Amino acid sequence: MRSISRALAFAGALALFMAAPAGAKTRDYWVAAVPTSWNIVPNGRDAIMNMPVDSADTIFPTVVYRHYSKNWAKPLPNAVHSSADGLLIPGPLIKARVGDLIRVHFKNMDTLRHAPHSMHFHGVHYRPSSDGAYVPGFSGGDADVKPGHTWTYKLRAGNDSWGVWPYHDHSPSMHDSIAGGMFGMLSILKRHQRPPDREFEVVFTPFGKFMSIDGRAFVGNTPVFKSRVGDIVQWDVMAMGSEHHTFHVHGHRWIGPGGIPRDTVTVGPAESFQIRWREDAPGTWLYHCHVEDHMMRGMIGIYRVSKR
Amino acid sequence: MRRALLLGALAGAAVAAPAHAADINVLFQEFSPSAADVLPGETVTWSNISERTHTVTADDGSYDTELASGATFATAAPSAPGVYLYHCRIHAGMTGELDVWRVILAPLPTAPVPAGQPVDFSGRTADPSAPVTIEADLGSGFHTVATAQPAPDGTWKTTAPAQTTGDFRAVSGIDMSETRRLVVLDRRVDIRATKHGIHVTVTPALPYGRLVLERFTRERFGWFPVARRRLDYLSRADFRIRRPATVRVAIVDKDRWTPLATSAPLHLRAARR
Repeated sequence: MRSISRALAFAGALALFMAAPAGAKTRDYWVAAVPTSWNIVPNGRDAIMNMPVDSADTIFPTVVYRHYSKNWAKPLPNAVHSSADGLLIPGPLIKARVGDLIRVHFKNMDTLRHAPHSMHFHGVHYRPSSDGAYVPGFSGGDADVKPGHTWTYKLRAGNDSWGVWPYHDHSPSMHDSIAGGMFGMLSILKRHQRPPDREFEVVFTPFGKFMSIDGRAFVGNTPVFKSRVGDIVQWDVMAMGSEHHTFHVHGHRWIGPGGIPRDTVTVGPAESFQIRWREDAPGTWLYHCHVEDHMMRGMIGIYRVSKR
Repeated sequence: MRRALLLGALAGAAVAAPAHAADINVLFQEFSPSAADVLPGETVTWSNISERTHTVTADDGSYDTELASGATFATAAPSAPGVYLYHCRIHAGMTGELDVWRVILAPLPTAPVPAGQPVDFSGRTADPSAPVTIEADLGSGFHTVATAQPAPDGTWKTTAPAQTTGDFRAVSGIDMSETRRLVVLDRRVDIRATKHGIHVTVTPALPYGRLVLERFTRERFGWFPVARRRLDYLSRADFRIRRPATVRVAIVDKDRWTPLATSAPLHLRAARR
């Protein structure tokens, strides 16, 4: 009996070993910290309360992560438009599959604050030189990339790396940088997992006077997510900052840990999760943080499902 | 010595200018305003109008007080100009600053002002004996556009007609306020339908000016930017637009968002088949 299980374990290990090189890829992402002029509320209003919002509170310069082509030759969208409205917050959606090597080539092009920056990734495997976290006397160039300088972070998506994970600035300027939008997500599929038809990025963060989703506040400004009945939709949800949030989607339920149906899940700072379902509810729905003070300060958006 | 000076300033304030103090509301997770402009020695009062307890704690340790819901705390602003940070010890990320200036220019209108309309400039100065001049940089360096004689309590007020979009500051002797931007509507944007979209002209000409195309949609609950373009050297531009659509075009300031002038809306009907 023991020999059979040992043989099975060996076969399993061999299968894993064989599978890794067959499907595994090296994925290169070119990312830069760049200045931009941000507007938290482009339509100028809190439509649900029918209140105008003063543009003096919503428009300001900030520094964000931006996706680039090879050697930072030209800017690219941070994700497909349907994932986050084509916005620069969150940063590039870094996609991979378990077994992949991910190389993130980072350049600091912060000509606004001339601050050091870095990238620190959750959920993946790496050496300390790819940690990107500043510790005086210990960390190296990965954690304190000066303006005009570059660093390549080498990451591996292990068997325990599937799911959605945050990345963010962890340099000496991290507090201001995260408050200004320097964060993003890794989305890692299991070895043979089917990619979703639609993938939506929802990042809960405080932003200036507002509580934002993807750096935007109030319906119409936050991403308008869209799908069709029959689509496999995946919500990538995370929080940054110092507060907890509760992610809630109207008209839908999903199965949470322990097989329990849920329609609201709590997410704390730097926590992240993914939710999937096959869409079967046409209509225009709300998605929002259910901490009521947060919702009233902008953490709310709409999700539109069309009939097939 | 410093304390004596501060007390003197406070006593003076109590006699001459009791009204001029900075009031800061302490909210659920923020100080509002988060940055307050104050003169040296002015009274700053924090009022906790939220339902939770906060602290008002100077980063330099000069004050630290717990503020229960409904409570207030007052202190005198530092005597030297500069930025003084404070925070709440209980709630991370809840920070504020006192900006101490010897001359303060109150915020200018945030909405664009039509060209030619008088604009009110007001503020406070630590030296009521010296005149305050308003200087504007409309693209070719700062020059004086108005002068004010302060009242004995340090407040001052004057007006000047809006000319064009630019940066303004108040000056008293060697002291200067922060710079504030005034957006002036001095252009006209016209749009007309073309076969594949719209044609834009701006008068007076604004070569290479920044344009934003906005669409009015139900799912955006109003006007929302959908495309950006620069005017050409003759102050013209074209946008391709899929019909039907209700659109308008705005010239925007260098921040890419603040509208300097906006066209009338135009409804493009569905193309005939």
